[in-house]
Amino acid sequence: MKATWFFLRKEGLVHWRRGRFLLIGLVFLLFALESPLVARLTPQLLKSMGNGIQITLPAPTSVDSWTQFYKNIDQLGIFLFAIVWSGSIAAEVKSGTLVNLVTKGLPRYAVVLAKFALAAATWLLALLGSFLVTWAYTTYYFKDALTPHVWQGLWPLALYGLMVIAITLLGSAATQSSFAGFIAVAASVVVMGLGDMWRPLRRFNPLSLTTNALPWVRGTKTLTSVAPAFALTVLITGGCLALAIVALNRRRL
Amino acid sequence: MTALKDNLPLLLPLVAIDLGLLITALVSILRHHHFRYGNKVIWLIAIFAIHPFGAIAYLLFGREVQ
Repeated sequence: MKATWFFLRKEGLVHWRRGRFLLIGLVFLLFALESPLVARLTPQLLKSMGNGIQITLPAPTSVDSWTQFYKNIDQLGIFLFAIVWSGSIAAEVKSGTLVNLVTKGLPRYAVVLAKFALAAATWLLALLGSFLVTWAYTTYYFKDALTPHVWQGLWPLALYGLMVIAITLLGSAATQSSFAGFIAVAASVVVMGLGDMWRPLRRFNPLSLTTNALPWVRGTKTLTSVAPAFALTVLITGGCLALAIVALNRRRL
Repeated sequence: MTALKDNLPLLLPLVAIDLGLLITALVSILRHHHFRYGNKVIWLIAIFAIHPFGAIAYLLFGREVQ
C-alpha cells in the first residue's frame, strides 16, 4: 500500500508537470459548455441555412442539452483518457525508469494500481466537474421538467470510464507499443458495438451503460434494467487490472 | 444580436478556453525547435486548421518532454 502511494505521488507529479490535469480539465469544460450551447443554437443554425424554406423545429429542451453532453463525453472524453494513458506502462518499461524502483523493492503491482488510481481519480473529477457545469447552464437556459433524474445517467458512465481505463492499462502492460492501450480500447468498443446489435445480449453489454443515459435521465427506464451489465463491467475492470499486473510481472524490464 | 447576447454566459468562457489553448500551443510551438512528433510547420497548420483538436493534440503529443 505504501509503495502504491509512493508511486502514485510520482505519477501525479509527472502528469502535473506536463500540464495534463489542466488540459484534461479544460477539454472537459469545453464539452460542458458546448452541450447547452449546441442545443440552443442548432435550431437557429438550421433555420438560417434553410434559405427561405419553411422549417418548423421544436424549441430546444433540456433533453437536447443532455444528449449533447453524453455524446461528447462517451465519444470523445473517454477516448482522451485512453489516449493519454495509452502508452503509460509501455513507456516506463521502454525507457527503463522502472528498473531502479523495482530493484529497490517497489512491487510491480503498485505500478499498475497507482496508474489506475490516478487515471480513475482524474476521470471522476473531470466528469463530475463538467457534469455540474452542464447542469448549471441547462437549468438556467431550459426551464422544463423533461429531465428529472439528471444524476442517473452519470454513475453508469463513470463506471464505464473506469473500465475503459483498466482496458487501456492492460493494453499498455501487455505490449511494447505506445498505441496499444488506445487500440485495445478501440477494439473492445467495436466488439461491444457488434454485441449491441443482438438484442438479448444488450442487458449484459457494458456499452448499455452509456447508450441508456438519456432514458435514465428522462425517467423512462430504470437503472435495474441493465443490472447484469453493471456486474459485468465491474468484473471486466477487475479482470483487466489483474491481467495487467500479471502481464507486467512477466515482462523483462 | 439578441441570440448572441442571450448566449453570452456560454460563449464567453468557451471563447476564453479556446483562445487560451490556441495561444498556449502557438507560443510553445514558436519557442521550440524540436518536437516529439512532426515539425514546426505541421503543428502550426494543425493548431489553426483543426481547432481546438490541433492544439489539444500538440499539447498532448507534440511537446518535447523536458
